[in-house]
Amino acid sequence: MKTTSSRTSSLTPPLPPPINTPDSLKEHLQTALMIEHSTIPPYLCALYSIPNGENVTASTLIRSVVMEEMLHMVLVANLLNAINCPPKVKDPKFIPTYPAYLPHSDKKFVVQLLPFGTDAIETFLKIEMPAPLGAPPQSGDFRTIAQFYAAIRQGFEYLCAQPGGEKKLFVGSASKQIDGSSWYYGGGGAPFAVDSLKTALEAIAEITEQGEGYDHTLYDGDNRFGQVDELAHFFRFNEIRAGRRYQATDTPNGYPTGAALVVDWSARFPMAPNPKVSEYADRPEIHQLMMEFNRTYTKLLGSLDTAFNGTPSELLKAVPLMYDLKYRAQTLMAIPSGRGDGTTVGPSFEYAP
Amino acid sequence: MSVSQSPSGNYDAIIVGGGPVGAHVAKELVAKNKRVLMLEAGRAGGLTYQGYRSYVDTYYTRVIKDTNSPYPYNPSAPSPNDTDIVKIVKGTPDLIGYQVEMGPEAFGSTYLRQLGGTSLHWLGTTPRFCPNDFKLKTKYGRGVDWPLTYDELEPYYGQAEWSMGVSANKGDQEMHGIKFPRGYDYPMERIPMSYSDQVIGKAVKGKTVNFSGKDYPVQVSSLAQARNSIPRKGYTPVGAVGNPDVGQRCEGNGACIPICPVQAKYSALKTIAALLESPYFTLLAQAVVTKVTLGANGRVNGVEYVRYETEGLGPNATFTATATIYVLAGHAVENAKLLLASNVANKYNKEVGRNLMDHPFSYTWALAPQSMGSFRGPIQTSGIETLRDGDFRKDFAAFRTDVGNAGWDIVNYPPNGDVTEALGKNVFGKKLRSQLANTLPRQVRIGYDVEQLPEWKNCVEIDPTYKDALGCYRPIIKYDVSDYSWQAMVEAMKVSKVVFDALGIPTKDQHFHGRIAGVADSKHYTSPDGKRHPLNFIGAGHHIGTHRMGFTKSDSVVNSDQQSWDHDNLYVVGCGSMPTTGTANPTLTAVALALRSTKAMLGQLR
Amino acid sequence: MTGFSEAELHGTAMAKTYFALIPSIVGEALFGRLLAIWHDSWIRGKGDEPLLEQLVTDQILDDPDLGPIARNVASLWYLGMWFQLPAEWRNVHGAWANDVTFVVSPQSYTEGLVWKAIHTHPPAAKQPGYGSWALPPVTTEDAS
Ligand SMILES: Cc1cc2nc3c(=O)[nH]c(=O)nc-3n(C[C@H](O)[C@H](O)[C@H](O)COP(=O)(O)OP(=O)(O)OC[C@H]3O[C@@H](n4cnc5c(N)ncnc54)[C@H](O)[C@@H]3O)c2cc1C
Ligand code: SF4
Repeated sequence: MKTTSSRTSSLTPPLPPPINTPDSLKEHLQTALMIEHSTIPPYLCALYSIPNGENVTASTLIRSVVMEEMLHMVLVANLLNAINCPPKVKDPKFIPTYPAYLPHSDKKFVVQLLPFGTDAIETFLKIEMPAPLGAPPQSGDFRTIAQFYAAIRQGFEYLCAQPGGEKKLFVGSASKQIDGSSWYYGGGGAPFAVDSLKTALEAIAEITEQGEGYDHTLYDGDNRFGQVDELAHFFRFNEIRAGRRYQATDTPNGYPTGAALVVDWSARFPMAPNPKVSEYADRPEIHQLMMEFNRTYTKLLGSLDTAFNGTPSELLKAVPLMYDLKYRAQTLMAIPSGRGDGTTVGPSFEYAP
Repeated sequence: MSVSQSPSGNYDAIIVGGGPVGAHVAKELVAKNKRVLMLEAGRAGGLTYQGYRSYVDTYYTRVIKDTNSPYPYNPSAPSPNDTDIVKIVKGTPDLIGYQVEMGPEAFGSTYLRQLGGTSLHWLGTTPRFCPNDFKLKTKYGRGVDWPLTYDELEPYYGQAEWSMGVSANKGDQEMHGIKFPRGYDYPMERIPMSYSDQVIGKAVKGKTVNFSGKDYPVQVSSLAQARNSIPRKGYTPVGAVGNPDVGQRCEGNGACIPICPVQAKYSALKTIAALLESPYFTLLAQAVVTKVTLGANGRVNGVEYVRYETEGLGPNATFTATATIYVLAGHAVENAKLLLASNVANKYNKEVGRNLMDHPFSYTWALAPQSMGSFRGPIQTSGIETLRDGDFRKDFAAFRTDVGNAGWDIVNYPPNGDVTEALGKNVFGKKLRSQLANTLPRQVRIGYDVEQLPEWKNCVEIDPTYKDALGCYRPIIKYDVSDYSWQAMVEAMKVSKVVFDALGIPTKDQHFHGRIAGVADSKHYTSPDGKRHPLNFIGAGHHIGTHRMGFTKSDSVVNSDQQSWDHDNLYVVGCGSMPTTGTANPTLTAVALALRSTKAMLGQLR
Repeated sequence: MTGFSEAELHGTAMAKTYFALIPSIVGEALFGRLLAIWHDSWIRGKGDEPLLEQLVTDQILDDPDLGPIARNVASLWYLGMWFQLPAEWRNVHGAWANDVTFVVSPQSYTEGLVWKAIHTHPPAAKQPGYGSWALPPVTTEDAS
């Protein structure tokens, strides 16, 4: 005969975490997808404003971050698909109107489309800020992205701790998962399928550690995934800001003290901040080029949407669109804005179906 | 594990030359913990990502973007360049550049002496030979047989394909008796066929040509290519040296010849960079091997090499290196030159340097009525492979048909000429823009890698009159093409005709040999039916022969293990060992042969 | 001159380089004349494509001094290359030391407009991405 276990003890059960229903988890994951995406246009503006062949180290560092952000988008899409919620990407509401706050953040700083420069890098540092030691999970009005993901992690853990929870939660179709290196390549690591609590937590770990560092170190701990350990995003940006590389003896709280990293802050196209197509309504040539950029960008989102919703091979088509986007952005950035302040036009990243 | 300055100690093997063939010999020997010294004549500039990128920048700024244009000119280890090759006027040799050409035909192929070798600028097409290519004499009464069969080489083909990273689907390659073992597939999926391949493929569906009384299908199929694509299970694409995230896929840069900017295309640099991780491997660049020396017992007892500091200037110093076995992998022409200069491997016959062959490449071109989307993607993604074998080989050569993706590339080097010509006619502005948009993407070019038979008179020779800055012999080339190949060029035009007609191209826009202004006819060939044909060809870069393998010590330079008949610790490897050309681009086969030969080498090193 | 808009020309980021380069090869005077006449034609022929074409042909392209320079300006934009001016031109204006055939810079090659005109990219640069060559080409009609 079974005895009643200590479960019946008089201890009051712990309060459920803020994310405690599948629907709320879905909603927050969709927000996570938006957050991941919202960082990409600002990073791309900084990256593409560096003329080919200039600031090579800085641009390599920024590029590597962008690649990982794209990987994060894929991983979040996998998380959504794992719990049978279609990721939504091609949607006017998906794109922030810059300047913008990070979606659902505590609105302490705005994110803008800026050319490469100290202002841009300062913002990037804020985006990738590691959570302070012992900072609580935050499902809304979050301070750091890491805290937001901590809340998502709690949500997964909580829902899976319910009787039959894991089985009930991971009901998505395996064919929608994007994994391995078939469709996705070019750095940032390889995505993996999410089909269980374990893999879900791994995906969340990969995302947050590449951003803010693994276990309060400088590095992303990727060697655990069979990859080379790299500096987390925050520290890569800090290297650019400080003009110096980190070395092995450095700590997350100090400054990098390694080799000099030469940055020429003036070697960039001085794109005017937060361009808008509407500003060039009376300049048809420029207007048209900006529209073409936005149409390409929207097509790219369409490709991602298709890839995330059952046709992973569509990711292959996204790559040519991404290259096209780059060449178009660089063209725009070389065109004088006509404001008389020496600035140039730039890509506006607006929805244009 | 180092790029050494002056190697000391005794090695198990010395390999002369860091191209794909030498690199694969090294790879196998090092895998069995043999100590290998690789001596390379050129610089090792491509081993760093930045060094390689500097080649790309050089390419951008070169006025003439020929095969060696990205790579710095090196007077201490010169290479033949396209621009040095001119039409041979009877009695007047072509002395320009490095290679001395005696004719009667210009030998239009180049190679590159730089770490990585000619694989830096090769195209990367990697078909297997057909089984009948190994027994041309028995089957068709032409040329000679190989001392080994397709089946004997088959396992090494698979190994070479996985090592170089070849993209193909097995099913596309199974023809003319080419077979694969159960469960085998290429490491990566086939490279997508270009839009123009697809259009042509559809148009010619069901069409045939008649050769020697028999119908053969004209059918477009995907080529096996050593460039990165979507990996199959168990394979990870190898990206750029020093920056492995780059080049994970072919990105359609369309510059495979002369340089893949992202290194999605295989080059020997990838194999060598991996070898440098091993303590058993030593690389010495800027070391030009000048002589193979013999001991009293007739075995090789060393190689002499000149080391230079600065290209063309020196200081230079001569050294000797020793090992148990010696492997010459310096390319067909350089291997022959080295043997001749050393006066070795010639005890039983005078075959060294003889039977030089290539795939004379003839081409036809046309202007399609609609856009073919030309100038996109790798230079070639498909071919017409159906005429690589057949009974007609009793009468004339077989050929592999290249369906190009780069417009009239070798015909008139677009688009520079098109732009200057239009401007010369006062076409400018919007008209210029639309004229270019409406013509260039319609350009189609179809070319033929034509089989060539071994002939004693076609050869590499040396002469003390002709030496380079370092005092090394310059290769002297004597070269001709026989009716067996000329006739095939005539027959090949039938294939072009089928394709052009199927595309609905009006006759006035179809161009066969020599009919465009500015392109000299190489030859007026009279076919057996009495018709005269203006014919024109260029080199394919496939130097074959010069130290061929054979059945006995009297008919060849090396045996089927590429081991010298005269000196048992000397191996001479590469396309030079091939007795006949077949129709396949030769490098995959050369690498497979090299892999096979390492079994004999390891046997000797035990 | 090129069939591309001013914005597109600026978009290559080569304008400054070319504006400095041309007078350094052919002299300020001739280059100034070319610009002035071009400007004049452009004002007079604005909105009237055939008239503009006529003016440019008559006043510039058929002019023995300016024609060769104008063609070279177009090849700079299209190919990133300067071609040595024709012998007849050099006989009259003397040989300028840097009037040789050359590619201006790696950027000038990659920014050549000819590739845009034919809806592709310069070989070895601006890679279009895996598999892009298998898709139907963009044609002038859909490029708008
Ligand atoms: C334009 C072009 C396109 C081609 N495309 C294809 C293709 O699509 N498919 C195909 O199969 N093949 C192709 N080839 C042929 C292919 O490049 C060669 O078959 C292949 O590179 C030969 O390999 P290898 O290692 O024998 O010689 P190489 O690649 O030439 O390497 C020889 C090496 O030896 C070094 N060396 C030479 N002499 C000495 C010396 N005295 N001392 C020390 N080192 C020395 C050289 O510097 C070089 O590094 C092409 C060739 C050309 C020119
Ligand atoms: S098409 Fe481009 S990326 Fe692909 S192999 Fe050729 S050069 Fe490299």
